[in-house]
Amino acid sequence: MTTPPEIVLELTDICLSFGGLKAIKNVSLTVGKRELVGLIGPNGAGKTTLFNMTTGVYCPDQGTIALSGQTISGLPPHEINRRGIARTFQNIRLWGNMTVLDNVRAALHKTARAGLWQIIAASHHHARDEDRLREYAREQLAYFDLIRFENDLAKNLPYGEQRRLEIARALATNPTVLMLDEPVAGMNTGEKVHLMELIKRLQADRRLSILLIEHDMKVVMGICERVAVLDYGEKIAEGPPEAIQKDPRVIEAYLGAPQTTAATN
Amino acid sequence: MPNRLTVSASSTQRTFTWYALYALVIMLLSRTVVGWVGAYYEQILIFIGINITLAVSLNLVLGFAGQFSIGHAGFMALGGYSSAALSYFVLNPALMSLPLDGMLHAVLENVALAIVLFAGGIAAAIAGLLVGIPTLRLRGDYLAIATLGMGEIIRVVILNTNFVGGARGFTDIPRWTGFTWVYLIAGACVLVVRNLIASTSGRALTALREDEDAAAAMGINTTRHKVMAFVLGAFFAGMAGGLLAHYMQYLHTNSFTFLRSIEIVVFVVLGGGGSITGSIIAAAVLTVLPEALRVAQSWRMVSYSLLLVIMMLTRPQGLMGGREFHWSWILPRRKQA
Amino acid sequence: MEQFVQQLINGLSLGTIYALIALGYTMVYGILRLINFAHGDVYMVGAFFGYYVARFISTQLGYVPSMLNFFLVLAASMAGCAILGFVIERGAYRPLRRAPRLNALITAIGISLLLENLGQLVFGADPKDFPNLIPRTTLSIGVLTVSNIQLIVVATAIVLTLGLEFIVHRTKMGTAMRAVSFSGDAAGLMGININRVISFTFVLGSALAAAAGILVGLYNPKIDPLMGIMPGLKAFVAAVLGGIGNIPGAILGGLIMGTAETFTVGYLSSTYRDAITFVILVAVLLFRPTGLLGTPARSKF
Ligand SMILES: Nc1ncnc2c1ncn2[C@@H]1O[C@H](COP(=O)(O)OP(=O)(O)OP(=O)(O)O)[C@@H](O)[C@H]1O
Ligand SMILES: [Mg+2]
Repeated sequence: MTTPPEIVLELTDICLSFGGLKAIKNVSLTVGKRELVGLIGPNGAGKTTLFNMTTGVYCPDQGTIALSGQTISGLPPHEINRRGIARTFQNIRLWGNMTVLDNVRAALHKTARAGLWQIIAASHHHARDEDRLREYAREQLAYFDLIRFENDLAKNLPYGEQRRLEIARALATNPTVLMLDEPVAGMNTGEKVHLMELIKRLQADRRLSILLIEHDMKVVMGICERVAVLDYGEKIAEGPPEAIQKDPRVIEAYLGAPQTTAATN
Repeated sequence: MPNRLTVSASSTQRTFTWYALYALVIMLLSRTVVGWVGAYYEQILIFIGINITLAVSLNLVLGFAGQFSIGHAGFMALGGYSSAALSYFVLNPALMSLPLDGMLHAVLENVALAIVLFAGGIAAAIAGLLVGIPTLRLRGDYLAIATLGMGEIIRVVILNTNFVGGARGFTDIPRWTGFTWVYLIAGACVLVVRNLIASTSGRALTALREDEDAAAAMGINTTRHKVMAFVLGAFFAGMAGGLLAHYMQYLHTNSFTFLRSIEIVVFVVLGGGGSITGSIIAAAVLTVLPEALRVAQSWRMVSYSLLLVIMMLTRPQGLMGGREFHWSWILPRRKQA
Repeated sequence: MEQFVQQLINGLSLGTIYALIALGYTMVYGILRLINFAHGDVYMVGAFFGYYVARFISTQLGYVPSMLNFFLVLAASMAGCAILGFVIERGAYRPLRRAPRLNALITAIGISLLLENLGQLVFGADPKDFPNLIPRTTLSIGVLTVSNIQLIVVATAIVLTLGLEFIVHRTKMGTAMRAVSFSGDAAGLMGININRVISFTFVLGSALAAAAGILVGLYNPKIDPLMGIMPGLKAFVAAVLGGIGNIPGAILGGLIMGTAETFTVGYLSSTYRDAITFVILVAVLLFRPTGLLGTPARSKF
């Protein structure tokens, strides 16, 4: 065993309820620097809700969330993104009527340097800045093998390409932690393997910490260094993939089907 | 890519060159065509110009940022009344008291007009800021109804302000404007909106329209961007109000009810939200059409509203469907490299 | 003090009319999440239906102001507007059910303008005198005066509201309405015919608006094709104030709007009559967007 990496994202004792429903119960979770952590659990376990809290959509009823030691729970979503957390959505939420290139460029907006007056007057400074952003966005698209679609509307992309574009868009905000909500859902095995390789490559190239939700245990086992299991809003297990696969509580949560792709949908 | 860089390095000059060229054409037109079409057609042209300014500025809010505002007439009223008050009570008396010959007087009059138009725009923009910060938290139809309410409140407050005429209306505003100024402002409005939406900030604005939650998750400060669009839209609506005041020489709050706001919404929607050329075409056509239909006066408004409903049912994306007119549509296309 | 109570009485009877219109807004919003901008104009059409039916009755049967006359006119107008509401939903809103909400809202505005302009064409733009269906008498209780019209307005509104309560809570259709309002998709999966429920909601709401149109004709006998605009907006604000989608809320909101209006006119100035509506609206939206009786909810995603 190597020494555990420095902690980047830390959730401590988080609770959230919707009316009477306790969606998240005292969950604690950490993600280390350049670590790839898997988050699994049956339908309705609270995985997406945990993401929503981390990214500022909901404020936890109890507990704190910290990024590199600074508390971020309670901040609005855009501020949390600025501090370094970017995400994708379970049901793809691209900006459909914008082009593929513009989806990435809009996400680059915080690196734009021109002020309103310079924009309105179309100043040199602004024009150069736009050129720089365009080139950068196109490089990103090339990395994700999307450059040939750059001028297509995002909503017209094939499904798999939409998933990749969502990751590209999230990365354009230059995060330290990337949170992926079921990035390979609805893909066939070949596509899944392909995207998982891309994610692995990203982690290495970009020095990212990644938290990834996935239903398909096989996929998670393949690439994650550590896996946490959520069931009915509680964290029931955490550890290296091999140990998780053998954990009786996890097997029970997945209806006694540990090796197969239980509870896919 | 050296080629692209050289092009954009000169883009400021290009922007100003285009605008100067446009201004020249407008002044030439005002000396020639507008001179001999007669007062009636001149007035229609002026209304078209004012409506273009209103439509394009609302398009920024409604078509690009996706924020449904039905309060544009309120900002127009505020801009109109404040600029008129400034000229009527301050600048016009000052101008009259100076013993000036014709030429210098004309120059100063134009300077005074620029000042009051800008002041009207700023007054409307401040109101836009005050209205926008609390209401833009609301979404969709709630925002629509809140902006409608704010617009009506502005109107009723003006109606009860006696020194600007109150229920009698504001009369004897100096006639300082005509074709040239109206189209200079309309051109500036188009230019500003175009430059803004083609920028990274503008794309963030469009992202907001497409999916606000996703935009926030990508670090876009949704409130700030919405307010920015709203304030800029209000600024140009205020200028348009000022132009109307100094052309008609008369203002009454009845011209600024929410029906007027809805009319501007119709321009944007029929032209196609997110298309500047669409707004321009729709504003022009829908200003001329009622005049042309004057024979069938009573059917005019009926067909107008029927058109709106049919358009929504059959072509909800509007005339231009969010695209811009491009010369390549009519000119033979050059082969692409 | 007498003036205060008198204003309160006037305000409450005006408020019942707003409440009746607000019920239609709240039911449609609850089910479709659509501000049916044309609803205020359905109320206007209701008043005109009443006007023409009453004229027909008086020319064919001789003019007899009586309660029977009033009931006939009320029933005919409610039936007429029920059909109108059905047609509007079928023709304009149903095709846009899955479209962006902005489109549906603009269509609603279009239908509203269409009814107003058609009204000016068909009925004429100038105000008409609503026939005197019931001879007016006033009762004095001490220094206060109450007209029999006010009593009839309030009584009719109470009966209609109780009828609505019965439909919503005691019939199968009402249960279906509540189910669709809670979650349209889930109700569809449970085998509820959503189209029928929506049609029924429009029929019900429009009939209530028509009733409001007749009552306002009794109360304030000048009617014109643009009369629906302001009461429509006020009733909408009433619905928002009470908590949109909430039936008792709509009634409460209507009564508050009515009293707020008479008090503004009585103590402030009649020029602020309409502005008070918007001040209340903006205040509610900013401080309690779910309304007085609405329950705050976590939204998003
Ligand atoms: N906004 C909300 N209001 C009320 N309940 C909610 C809300 N969001 C989620 N829930 C509930 O919280 C629970 C957890 O939902 P969540 O979406 O987090 O599950 P999940 O683990 O992501 O499931 P899946 O694998 O299906 O995506 C579910 O019971 C869900 O119905
Ligand atoms: Mg989920």
